[in-house]
Amino acid sequence: MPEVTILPDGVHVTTHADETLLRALARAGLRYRVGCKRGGCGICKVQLKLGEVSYERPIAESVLSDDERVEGICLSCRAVPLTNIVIELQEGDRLRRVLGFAYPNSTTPPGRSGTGPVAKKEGKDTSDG
Amino acid sequence: MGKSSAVIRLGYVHLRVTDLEEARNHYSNTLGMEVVHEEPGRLYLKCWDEWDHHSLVLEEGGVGLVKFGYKVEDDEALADFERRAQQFGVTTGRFSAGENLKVGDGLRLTLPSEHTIELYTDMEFTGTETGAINPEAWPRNVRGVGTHWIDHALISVEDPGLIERFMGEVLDFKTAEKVVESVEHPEVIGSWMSCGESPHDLAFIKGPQGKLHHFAYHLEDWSAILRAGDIFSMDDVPIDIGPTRHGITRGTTIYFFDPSGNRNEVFAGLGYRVQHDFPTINWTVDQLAKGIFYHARELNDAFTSVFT
Repeated sequence: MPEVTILPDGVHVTTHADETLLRALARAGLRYRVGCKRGGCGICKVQLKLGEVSYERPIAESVLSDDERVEGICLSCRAVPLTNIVIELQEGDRLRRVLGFAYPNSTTPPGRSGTGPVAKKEGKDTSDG
Repeated sequence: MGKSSAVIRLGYVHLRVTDLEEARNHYSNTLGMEVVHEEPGRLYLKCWDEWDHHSLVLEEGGVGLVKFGYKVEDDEALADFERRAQQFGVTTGRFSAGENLKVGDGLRLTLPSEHTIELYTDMEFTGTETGAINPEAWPRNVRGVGTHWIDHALISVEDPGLIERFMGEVLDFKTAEKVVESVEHPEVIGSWMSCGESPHDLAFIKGPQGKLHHFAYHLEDWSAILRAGDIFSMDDVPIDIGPTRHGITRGTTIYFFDPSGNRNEVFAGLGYRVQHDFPTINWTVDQLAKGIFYHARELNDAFTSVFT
């Protein structure tokens, strides 16, 4: 499964099949700046530094323009990694750990080697934020 | 003393959605609206407790607001609004019966905030699910949340003071509550305006031009709000905030998003009646968070940043 590296922290998360960036990060107990979580507002855009993503649903041009796509702007609530990717959070945003008890050593990036996140349950994840 | 407005209510919301079938599932199965008409790329829906043909038009392609329709009492009122809107300097245009499905002739206004509002006097009357003769309290076959009717909308505008003046001077809306910079500097940050006795039929806050913050459905009470929240969890609907209460309007609420990211609200509790002698309630901007989310008393990021 594709691995996501999140800059500037350098945290790694392993994604599930067809899982969006937002869901993968939420499953790993990580929070960052998001809005509607459904591709409508553009608040959760991140910079795609390396790798490829696809969009499972149509995205409004008013939310993510062709120019932005060319510049590597990525709508994280709808983007599904196709390869290992590296993303960088927006300026001023930061990664927050909401499952601190699961990763008591906060210097250990969750999800490294695919063993970190508490993700035993497959299927619909309703806690995406 | 205020003057009665000849505007009756928010009659329809015309919205863009990125995926029509996902939107159908949300508005019909999760919220419980009925699809009353469909054509390629469009769905028309209504709630069980609404009398006219439809209250929501969903159009596939993009996201956000196309326009609102507000129902008006009669043609004289339309002509009067047209004259006053032109005097105010607002772009007006007439539209003919049939341009909007089942809607009669009307007047189209482009607000200084770039929102389109259509005023009309007639939409085909189709009746509610429970009818007008010895009605039951509610229909037994209601789905999901079972929203009663579309109640109000909140939009974002660059100049709330200007829009408040327009809605008051041209359409006779009354300001029930407003948010001002401070008592000494009463610059308008947001305004909740009423055309009848409901605390708001249209509200607006400072923000980008032409955008939608949310439109809201009326529910019966607080327990219906809680039940709606349960259904949102069952159906994986992203909740923005709630269940909680607004300080402004005293309504109980959940903000949530449709599958395209348009914000919806379920809203209950007629906190008070806006009668002709109702004085405007003022909130200072330092208390805005309490005014919006009465319990949390702090705004989430999304409230002031997520618009479609």
